[in-house]
Amino acid sequence: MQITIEKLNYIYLEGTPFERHAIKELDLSIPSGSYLAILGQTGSGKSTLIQLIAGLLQPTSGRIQIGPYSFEAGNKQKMLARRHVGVVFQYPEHQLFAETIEKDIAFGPKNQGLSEKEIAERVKMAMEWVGLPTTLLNRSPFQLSGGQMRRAAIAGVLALLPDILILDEPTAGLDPKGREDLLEMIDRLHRERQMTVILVTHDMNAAAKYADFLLVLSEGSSALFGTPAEVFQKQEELTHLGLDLPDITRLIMRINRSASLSLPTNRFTLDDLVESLLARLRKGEDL
Amino acid sequence: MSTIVRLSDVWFQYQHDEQGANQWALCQIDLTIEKGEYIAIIGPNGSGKSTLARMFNGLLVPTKGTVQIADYFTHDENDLWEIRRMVGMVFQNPDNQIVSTTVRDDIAFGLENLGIPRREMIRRIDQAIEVVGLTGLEEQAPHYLSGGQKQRLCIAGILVMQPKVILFDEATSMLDPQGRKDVLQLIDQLHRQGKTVIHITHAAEEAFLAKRIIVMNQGKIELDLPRDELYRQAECLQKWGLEVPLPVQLHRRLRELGVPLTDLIHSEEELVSQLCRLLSKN
Amino acid sequence: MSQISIGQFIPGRSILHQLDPRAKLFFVFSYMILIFFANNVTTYSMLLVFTGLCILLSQISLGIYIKALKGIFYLIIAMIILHLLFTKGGEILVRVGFLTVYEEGFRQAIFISLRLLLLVLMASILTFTTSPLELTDAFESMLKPFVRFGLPAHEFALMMSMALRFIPTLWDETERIKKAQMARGADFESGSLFRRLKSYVFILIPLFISIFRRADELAMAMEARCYRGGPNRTKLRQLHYSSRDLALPMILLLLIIGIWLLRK
Repeated sequence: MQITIEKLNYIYLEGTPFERHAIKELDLSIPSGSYLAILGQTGSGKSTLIQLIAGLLQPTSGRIQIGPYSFEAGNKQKMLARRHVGVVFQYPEHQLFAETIEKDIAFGPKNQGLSEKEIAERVKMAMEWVGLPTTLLNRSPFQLSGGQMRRAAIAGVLALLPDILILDEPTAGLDPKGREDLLEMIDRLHRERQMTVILVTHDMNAAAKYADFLLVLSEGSSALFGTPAEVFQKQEELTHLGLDLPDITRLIMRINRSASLSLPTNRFTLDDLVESLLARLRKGEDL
Repeated sequence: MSTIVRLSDVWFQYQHDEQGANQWALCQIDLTIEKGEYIAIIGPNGSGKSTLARMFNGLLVPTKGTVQIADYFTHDENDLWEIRRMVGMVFQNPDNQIVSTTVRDDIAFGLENLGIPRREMIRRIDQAIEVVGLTGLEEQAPHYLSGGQKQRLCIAGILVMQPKVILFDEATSMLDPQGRKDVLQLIDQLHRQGKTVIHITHAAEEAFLAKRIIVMNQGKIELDLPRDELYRQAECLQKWGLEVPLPVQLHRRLRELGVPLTDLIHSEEELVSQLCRLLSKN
Repeated sequence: MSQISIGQFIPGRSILHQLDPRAKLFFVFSYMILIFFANNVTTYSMLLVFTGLCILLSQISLGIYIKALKGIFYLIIAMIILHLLFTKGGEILVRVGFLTVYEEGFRQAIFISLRLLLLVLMASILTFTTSPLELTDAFESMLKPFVRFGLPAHEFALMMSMALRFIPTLWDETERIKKAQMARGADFESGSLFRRLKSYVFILIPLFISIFRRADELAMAMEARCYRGGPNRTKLRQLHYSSRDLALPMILLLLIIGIWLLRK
């Protein structure tokens, strides 16, 4: 589902001393089936933006269009749009509540009013997607390990079969292996099910590796937008915004600086780097 | 140098372990730490590194074996409070270690517990606030601080107790990049001021900031090496699901393809300068 | 969090803010008892004037006090109606159909609502001008004499201050859980009251689990910072009586004498 945002504004606690303009005049268009990473410092408006897209907050002004549904200040279509958007909040395992994993994952589909049979299918499917064995169905979610609990919670969102999947720092607190497994799983869903993915992250490596587009927020406005290759070219702007570069880009830039080379910085895999280095080294030999 | 921490043949088992009651959370840990060292303990989730951390200040006591801090033993109830004063600990979730409703009051908490006279308290608190860079926020409610500031507040609360050893138990894992940078910088600063620092983490890039690195897996110490030594063989970290630093990966790949680099590198700098030499030769 | 209600501290530098919280607590407590001794126009006017003076001295705008009174507005109205209708005695003032309002009923209606008004205003003056932390300290020090009878004064105070510390944290957490369940289709906004109440279970369970987890971690962190209970602790916050605080018992004494002389 295509997402279009026009002149979006959101003001927290308008008219009180605590008033804060969290999203300012934001325009954004996310093609259906793409993978967007939202970057920005804490307090730049990332979590406000995803809550707006998910229909959990009412825009102060401006318009959000999700597929056929359009919602702006005042109208009620956000309830309909909500059905198509799944949100995985930070530390989603803290929202588990049911006595069995099955019941917890079934919560969403049940609220959608599906039949018992459909619900059971959704639960099985979601568990398979996140890689939890169905033997765990009747276990309490609180007996799982931290990583498994997170998967169970994500399964609870996937069971809604959302067209758009929003994840807020889904890998926070996981170890490197758990982090990679989770990101791979999300990427697989994105590719195989054409799910539109919106990933809020501080992890530049993940953003470079998986995302089609990057949106850098700063004080509620779009500071940079483009493909990873485009955005990570703008080293100065990023530093100014208090953001890092992916490890690999930093390494390439360092080599470039030290050896006064210009290896391409718009590619983000080790293979690409090896290739371009080899090309350089061989060029010398041939001469 | 003198030994400040000594673990001798430490084994530990949680009493209410649901799966497999026989599983040892820690087995056969022998470890000595000298005064002023900067150590990182790294391992995947569930490797026992947090359990090990809780051994150092007697929050957990070994099932078998002994933990000695300077001249005190954690299994001796009478020594426990002196040990906890000497070994300060910063936990993972900054929210769940702040007790009071203002920055200043929270820093005072440990001092109040120790029964330090008020005048001395004020002196130490002012000093600690400056060290961690929270000047101006003394009367602020913790709720209004950022994650990084909260964690620095927790560090200040430990510093005022004048500990010899400071333990960071995944203290950076819930912070944003800026907060993480600030805390890492503070850790380094404390080390340079002579504190013994133990940093528990699962991020390899953070671990390599330490001078000595201990790799844990399944309750055992797998490796215990100086930083440079481990960097050379960092490829092995993969075995335990840990990250291999990018330069190490690049080095191996290039070597495999026949690029004449030295056998081993011990830093990114070394790799870059070798590459430079090769490239400029051409 | 954006609403101002009874119990909210409003930072300031007024004379009332600077008084010792123990002196204030003691004064307000005694004053509240004193209110019940007022029984005629003179005594009530005296207390009203005095309360007005305090409001002036607090340097907090009247609007905030009015907001605080909103909470008891209906209670006052109810009291007035009850007394007007059911209290008998004295001359008959009005008679409409079967409803009769007596002079005594009118008197009681006015006085009881004034009493309520005075109580709430004074309580508001106390909480507006005294930070929760100071109040906690004042409570602890006032409970101290009872420690020898086994009252855990220090533990009470610590519990109060930790509750204050965690209210905003848990508030945020509740919001987060609510949003997450809403995103999964839980409905807190429509449907029957019963359904809505039932929905709150999906918030309360995770919230309780989180509270227990936090309590666990907090206990460990406190232990790691050498916490082992009340005895032998020193305190950073110390309450000092100043000569100013002497004014409070003097004023109290004057008020007592005034009420004693002027009441019927």
